Amino acid sequence: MSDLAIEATDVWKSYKLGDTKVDALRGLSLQLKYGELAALVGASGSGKSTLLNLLGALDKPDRGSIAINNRQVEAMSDEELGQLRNRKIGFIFQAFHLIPVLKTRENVALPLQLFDELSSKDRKMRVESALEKVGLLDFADSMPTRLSGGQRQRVAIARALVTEPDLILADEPTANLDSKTAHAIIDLLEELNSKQKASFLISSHDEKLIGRVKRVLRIQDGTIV
Amino acid sequence: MKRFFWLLRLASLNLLRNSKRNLITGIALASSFSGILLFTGYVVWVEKYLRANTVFVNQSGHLLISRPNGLEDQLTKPRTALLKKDEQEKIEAMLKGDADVLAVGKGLQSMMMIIKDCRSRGVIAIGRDEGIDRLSLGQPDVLKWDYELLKPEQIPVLAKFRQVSPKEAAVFPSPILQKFIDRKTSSKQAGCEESANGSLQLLGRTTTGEVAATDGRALGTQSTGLAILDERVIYMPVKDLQTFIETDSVGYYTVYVKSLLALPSVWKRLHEDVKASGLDLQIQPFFSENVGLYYIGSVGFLGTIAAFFVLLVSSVVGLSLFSLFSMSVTERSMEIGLLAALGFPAKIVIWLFEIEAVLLCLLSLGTGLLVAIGLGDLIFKQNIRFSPPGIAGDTHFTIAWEPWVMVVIGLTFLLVSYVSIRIVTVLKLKRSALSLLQDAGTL
Repeated sequence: MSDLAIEATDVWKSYKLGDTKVDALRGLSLQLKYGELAALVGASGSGKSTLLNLLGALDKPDRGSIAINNRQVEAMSDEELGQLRNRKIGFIFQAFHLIPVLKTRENVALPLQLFDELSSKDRKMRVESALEKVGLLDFADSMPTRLSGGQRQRVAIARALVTEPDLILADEPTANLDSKTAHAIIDLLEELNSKQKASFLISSHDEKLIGRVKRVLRIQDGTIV
Repeated sequence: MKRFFWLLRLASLNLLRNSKRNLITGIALASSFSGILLFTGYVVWVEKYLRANTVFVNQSGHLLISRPNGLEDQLTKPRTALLKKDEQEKIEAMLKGDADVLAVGKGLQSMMMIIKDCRSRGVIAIGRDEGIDRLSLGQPDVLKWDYELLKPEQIPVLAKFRQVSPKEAAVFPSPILQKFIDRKTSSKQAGCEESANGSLQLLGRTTTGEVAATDGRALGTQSTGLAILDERVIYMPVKDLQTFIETDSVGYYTVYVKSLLALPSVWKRLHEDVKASGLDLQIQPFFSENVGLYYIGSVGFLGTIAAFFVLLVSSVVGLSLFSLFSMSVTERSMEIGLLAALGFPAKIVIWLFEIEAVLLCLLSLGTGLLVAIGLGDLIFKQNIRFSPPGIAGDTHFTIAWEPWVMVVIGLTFLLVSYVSIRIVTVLKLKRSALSLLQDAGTL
């Protein structure tokens, strides 16, 4: 078993934009070790989101191979992909994607609904631990609409952490936040990376923030440069 | 189970989230349901009214045993159509001891003229079994639905009359014929003297073709409940009619079962016994055209209309829900995408929306049920009199509830709602989690 959380080899992905075929990824290869934190940087339309969607098992490549946790994504059924996303991957979305009718703790607990083996007590402990890590334990019973943008993103991060995944993918997690809050979120992600065993891949086009990350993967025209 | 309660909670919260739209949909659903319940409640009342009327008030029984075509032929060919004494004994022996049989009655019909002073009118005299009258007065269905038709005070009146006037025939004309009897005679008509109130003469033929005539007395009115029969029917005790037409034969036997559920088995047993006995008899239920023409015609017609309306309204409800949930599911594309992205299998996401639809439907159906029952009660208390087509005189407008009918209608609504939301969500979930996440929504 290799020490790679992600291994993407010669990945191609295209999609249609009207009548035009757009090659979003062109033979991209990438490796990310367990516990590593890397930033994925590129201009708008460079293929960052397409790559994150493939690495997050939300989509399949047209060509090439992607292994997450040493398992080939392209060979998996929809059910297996769902299990992989639920157990091994944590997502942090640019738009937070919190369910407005659920309290903070319920939003964080959302992926744990599929963890039948966990008791209610264990779930509660995991949720509170995740909220404590992101500094929102006091807001556990708040509704998302009562939270600021930065707090909402912290809830989304707690939701990504709560399943204790091997890989956390963050798609422009600071894009909707002001500069101060964005820095705080990156600090938090760095801190979590140092404490957790999980690998982090954060996409961003904010050069200032990227400057703080040790490994930067630059993507241009569908390949890593 | 834990997951079900979680989905139930999320579904309830989502219903509250779009409260205005869901409230309007709920009101539309509830009012459609209560409207359909009220309409079918009227049809149910018609069915109960006409069933009790056919079986007990008009004494056709749940099953009627006669010679083939005997019900019609007894009026024109009484000599061959009536059941002789030995046949009566055999029929009674067949029915004796049957645990499902509540009672057995006898019936007889004959054509005659009633003569009041110088006026006469052709009528059909129907012989009533006094035992069945007494039984009918204790039947819940009669007391509840046809309470305006049976008159318990007539039984003691008849008994008292028998003691003082054994030679007169007791007659219970319909209200229409009673008016004919009560009408004053013009004094200018030669030889027409006004007779005492209620007294009249009966003129007919015996079963052997001789002229039969006797004095009679109208002891009270007895409506058939049906307009077409009230024009030409008088009731008499079956014994009085037998005496008048000089016979110990009867036209038919009526069988009353303890429970409608037992009717098929009693019918079958009787059929087998008749076949084994070699008697040439016909056994007809109250819902056959020969016995309960008005019952089967009215209930069949109204039942068809009710079924049509249930299907029509539930289709409209289904389309409305389809439209509502299409909008709701589209608005929540990102939420569906999120759940899919977090690894939720499609079936759980579908359950969530199904539970929402079923919950909305159940709440609406519950409200619609309460509204319908409340309105039905209010209508009853208003004591609205109306004349339904074919019914003699007017009657109390009543809505009747039949639990299984309500359950069938409710389940139809529920099924339509379920199918609507199922189609919407399954179509939606054909899209990938990624495309759903990228969809414009309300998250």
